[in-house]
Amino acid sequence: MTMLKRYTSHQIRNVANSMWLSLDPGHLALSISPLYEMLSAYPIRTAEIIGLTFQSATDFLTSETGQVIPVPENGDQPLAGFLFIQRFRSAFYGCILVEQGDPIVRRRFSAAHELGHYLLHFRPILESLPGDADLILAEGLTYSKDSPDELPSGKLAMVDSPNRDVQFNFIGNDLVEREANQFAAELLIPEAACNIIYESFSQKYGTKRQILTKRLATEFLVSAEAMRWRLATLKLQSS
Amino acid sequence: MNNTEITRQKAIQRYVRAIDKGDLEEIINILEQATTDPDLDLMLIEANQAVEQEEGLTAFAKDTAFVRQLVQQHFNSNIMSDEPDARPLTIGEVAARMQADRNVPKSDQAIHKTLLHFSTPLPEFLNIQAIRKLASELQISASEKFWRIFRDTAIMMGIGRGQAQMAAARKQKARKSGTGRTDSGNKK
Repeated sequence: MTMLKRYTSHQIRNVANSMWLSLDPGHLALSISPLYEMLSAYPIRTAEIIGLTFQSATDFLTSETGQVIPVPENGDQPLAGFLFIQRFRSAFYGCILVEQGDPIVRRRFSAAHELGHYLLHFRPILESLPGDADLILAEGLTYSKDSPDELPSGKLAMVDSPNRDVQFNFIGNDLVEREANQFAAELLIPEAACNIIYESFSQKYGTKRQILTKRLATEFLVSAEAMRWRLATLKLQSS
Repeated sequence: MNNTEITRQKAIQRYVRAIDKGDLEEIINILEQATTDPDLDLMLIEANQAVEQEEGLTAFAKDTAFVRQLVQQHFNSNIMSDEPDARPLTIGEVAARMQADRNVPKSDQAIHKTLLHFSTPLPEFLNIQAIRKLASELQISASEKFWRIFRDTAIMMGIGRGQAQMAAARKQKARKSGTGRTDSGNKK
């Protein structure tokens, strides 16, 4: 049974900050994080497709790779994001798909969430295994139908010997999903920038919390819910 | 001209004749041959373009691209899975795939043609920085959009090649254990 590495909030922040530090200095002045540039630092393709489901994700991958690609689940359940990563004989490649019909703020959060899984959960497994160990990791990301304003969640699944069997084992849990969400929030709303902009805007908007949150969300190109969550975790506002 | 080159030339002649006759079975045979011969694959792409340009058979060229995809999908993962391609991807192979997919920005077509002949292997860690470094080392000047498509194509080919090898390993294992099960990779 594969054990996923656990993280403190501080460790997740450090991983997200390291992404910012690897960028050209010109990007550091931006409040909207250059997500594509960050994702491009890894051999991961990102694409947007209409009507994202497990079925359409596997159709896309099969069409693009010429191979039948295994996915953890079948079906037409709508997904906001999809992650597929494989390492075979030291060659590592991945693909993140997001639902094209989602608002840009949600698409960015979904992609950042999946990148979080790669950095926080997949990479440590790779590092703990011999260099020739093969592995596939996949996840479908959804938003709750009942509470669409909540942060997304998925079920991380892994194949640990894909050259023997393609049976996926679900290895994730709520904690792992929260870690990926925190990573996404740290990446898209860095603490230092958030503190500065919050300070500046709160002078202007005062106690009008909702307006302030929406204004800040626009500044960072994230959803109001993600912004509210971030302000609460930074103790700038109560949740 | 050595024997391999003569065989390729003959394959191209058979291919063009098969296109003329609409002989899909023969086309599939030759495409199958090309899956293990990148040079033949390139020649087929050029032959497709020539046919398309000279005779305006765009629809048919699309059909052959579709057949190629089917052959890759079915032969690599099943019938030909005992000998999947284990070599590292090269620049030329990725450029050929971009061409087959008709995914080359117009402004980069000239530089793309030269890349078709590059047998330089791609970096193992295929991030955008590695691609930019490679382009700089090879003194290739193409648009940012071109390199993005190039990298995306290479990543998809890398996943496909790994999957083909894993499917081959599973098939071999099934054969050894005598189960005869040929798992193509899809979880039911």
